[in-house]
Amino acid sequence: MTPLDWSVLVVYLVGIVAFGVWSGRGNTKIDDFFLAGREMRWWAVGLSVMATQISAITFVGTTGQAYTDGMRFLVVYFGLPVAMVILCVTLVPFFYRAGVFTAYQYLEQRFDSRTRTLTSLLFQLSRGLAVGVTLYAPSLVLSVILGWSEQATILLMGGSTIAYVMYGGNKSVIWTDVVQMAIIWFGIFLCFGVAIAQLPEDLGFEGALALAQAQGRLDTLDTSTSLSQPYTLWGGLIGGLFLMLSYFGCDQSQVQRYLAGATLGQSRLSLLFNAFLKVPMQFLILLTGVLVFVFYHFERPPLIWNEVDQARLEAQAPPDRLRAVQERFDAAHAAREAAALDYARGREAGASPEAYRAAERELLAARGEAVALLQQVKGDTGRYNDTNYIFPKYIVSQLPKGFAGLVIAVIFAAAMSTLAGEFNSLATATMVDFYKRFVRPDGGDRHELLVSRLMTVGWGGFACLIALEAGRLGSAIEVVNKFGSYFYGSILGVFALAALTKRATAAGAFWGLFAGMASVALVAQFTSIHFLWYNVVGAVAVFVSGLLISALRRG
Amino acid sequence: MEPMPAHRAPAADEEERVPLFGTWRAIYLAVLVTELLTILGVAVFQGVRW
Repeated sequence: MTPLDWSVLVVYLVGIVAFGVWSGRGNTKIDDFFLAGREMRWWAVGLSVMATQISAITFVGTTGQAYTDGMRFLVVYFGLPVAMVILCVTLVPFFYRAGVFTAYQYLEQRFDSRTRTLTSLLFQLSRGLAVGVTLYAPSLVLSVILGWSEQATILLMGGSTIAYVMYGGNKSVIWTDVVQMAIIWFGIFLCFGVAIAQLPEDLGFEGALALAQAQGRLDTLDTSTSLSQPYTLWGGLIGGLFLMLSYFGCDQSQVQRYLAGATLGQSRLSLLFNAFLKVPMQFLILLTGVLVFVFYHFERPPLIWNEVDQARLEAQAPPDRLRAVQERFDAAHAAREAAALDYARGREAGASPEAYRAAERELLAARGEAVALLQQVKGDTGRYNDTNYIFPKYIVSQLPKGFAGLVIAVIFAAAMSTLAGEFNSLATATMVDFYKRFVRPDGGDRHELLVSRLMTVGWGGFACLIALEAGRLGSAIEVVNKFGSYFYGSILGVFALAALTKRATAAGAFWGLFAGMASVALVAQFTSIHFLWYNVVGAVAVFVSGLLISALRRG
Repeated sequence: MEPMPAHRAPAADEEERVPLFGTWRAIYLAVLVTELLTILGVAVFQGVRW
């Protein structure tokens, strides 16, 4: 990081907090604070919906995943466009007409108060934990770049986001999201362009794709029907559909964004805007990760992507063993580079990729030896994963002056936009679904605004605490999705009972929710079914059991 | 508690009278067609020999 990079990053951080505070001025009651006065236009809400979904994990995690595993993760988003259409036809009009602050309020109108209480509680539990992971991801970035402790990073990220959300509420969230999304889009195109420009001249973009293809990095559509196989086409289309229905239809962090739309039509358009753009955007991000993979064919990658672990390896491993590992790795890298160029040049003449694939396997084996040595040094027997460090390392070591600072700012923007929406929605759920019902129903505008701000601070602080523990939970992106999947599908099932049938009763919905969660827990515990399917299991279990219970109780 | 019928909504304003599959039908269809084309595009991207 050069002084120019630092300047870019500081300007972003100071600017976004100042803009957030400025844009959120004028709140006098909780309608303003939580729903931005219900006067936002579709494009602002649409960008906010997109910014809330795209977290720093998306940048750091999925680019790293594309580097190591290819583009299969894309299928998760295949369900999104269909989910948006379904929501526009079903839940969005119901929420809008009911004039609710939270999605769970609608369940009280349709069923009873305990169903609202339980679903809101589950949202706060799962989202409260997930937001900690969302905060943790950028701390990985700064731990690589600055050598700062993760604690310091968490306080900087969390504190600056809390500052403007606490002051300006949803208005600040939406307007800062608009700016942040513009920065993010710019950053995506910048990274993609730089990654292409840095490829060797005689290889080019097409040659890079050929190399990636030979190593399976372009494999996206896996038509396997196995439920335990991760990221299959069917898992994406069906499991992804249920995941997106749950996320955009039942998760307050998203529902609250489009409830701020000036009309029902504005809210619908904001979701459809995402339906068109989300998959192409994710495709670009993943393809950038793939291009970074090819780039490191011609630039020697580190043994270990995490600089702290790399330094520890160099300091504590027996020198002879480390030297042997490094020599094997260097030789394997040189062999892979030569094999890659041979294949790229000869592919049109029908050259086989086998030698190139063998070279890749040898490089992986050499790296595996380095990882084993590191684990030995650390006394750790668990699965080692430094995937999330790949892209940050690439940014700071390979991007031109000023660009690195900008892309780091993009990662901050991605993280802060998600955190902002989540702090705001968690505070809303606590305030509207609990405080205003059970503690002080009529506290007056001033009191309610003050308590809402305190709750924003409270949830921000809780997220910081969770973030400190998130490092031990494994690959960040999977952790976030797994947290969601345990509850998401079941909550979706309750909303489906509410919106799709008149036969469901309050008791059916309430006890059906428990049946759904129990089903997901059993499936997670005793089968190898991939977590993308948990949402399907939960939703279907709640819907079926809810209807059965309703029929039995009525009969 | 007697469940509220799913489709009984508060008083409708002008926006709420927009039929579910009326003016929005073209946009919904465009989304679904784009989705189909996207998946086909990805299949081609994956399948073509680069």
